[in-house]
Amino acid sequence: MTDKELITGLKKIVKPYIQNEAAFETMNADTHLIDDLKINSANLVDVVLDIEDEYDIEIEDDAFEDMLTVKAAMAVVSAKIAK
Amino acid sequence: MIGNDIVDLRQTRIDSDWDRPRFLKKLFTSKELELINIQPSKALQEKLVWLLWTMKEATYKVVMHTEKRRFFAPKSFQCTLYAANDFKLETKKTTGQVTFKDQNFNITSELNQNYIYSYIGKNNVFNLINFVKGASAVQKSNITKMNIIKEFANQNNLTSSSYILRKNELGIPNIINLKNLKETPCSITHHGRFSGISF
Repeated sequence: MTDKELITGLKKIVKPYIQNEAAFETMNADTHLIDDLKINSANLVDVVLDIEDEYDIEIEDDAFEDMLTVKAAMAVVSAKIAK
Repeated sequence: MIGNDIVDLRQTRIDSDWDRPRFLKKLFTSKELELINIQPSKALQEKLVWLLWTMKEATYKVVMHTEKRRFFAPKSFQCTLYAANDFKLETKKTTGQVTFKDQNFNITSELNQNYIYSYIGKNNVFNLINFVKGASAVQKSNITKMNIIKEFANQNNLTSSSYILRKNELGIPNIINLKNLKETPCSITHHGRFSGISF
């Protein structure tokens, strides 16, 4: 899966939880889920669950500990899919 | 050492489905899940879910000072309620402990049908702001900032213009005295109709 495909996939996943449209429009690898997209912390769990469902993977607790940016989310998904 | 967190219960029902499969398992330890599962009604479970959540979030704000990093690891915070057996829908106040690594924090929570507000800190000021209907996110944020500066200035017998509020690189807010540049850590929490300020 290319980075572009990953970002497109993640964009669809985070959409219901974002509270900042402008940052969402220009979402890229450096976008911060909390600072930029303003996703509330309880909804981070929904993002993790939606990623698991979408890519049919399981993300362990320590794997999502640092998943606060789009880049980090991409790394988690790539690593899991590669297995 | 200061940290606070609030949830607007009405807002949680719009934002989150805590009953969604696997949701609770990602957030809570087996001990916490046990306590949630033995509650006799959905309403009590809901209240406990958000109580424990605010306890974890308030503690996260405290340990960020020493961890010096941002992270999302809700299960690293183990919550205990001192009177878990007495937890009822009418419960207005709880005290408990949150353990993170080898540190224990005493935490107090205020509950009612509108919000749950948890805070850690001794001799600190904990205030709650109830926003007017229709206030935008930016307005709410500005009202909260103005309020914390005003309260802090009142306590120190100075005017609001003597202080500014600034977040450090970790996102921790500090009240800065513009004359002597002294920084006082504070904690701010918003959700839905409410915000909580403390210093």
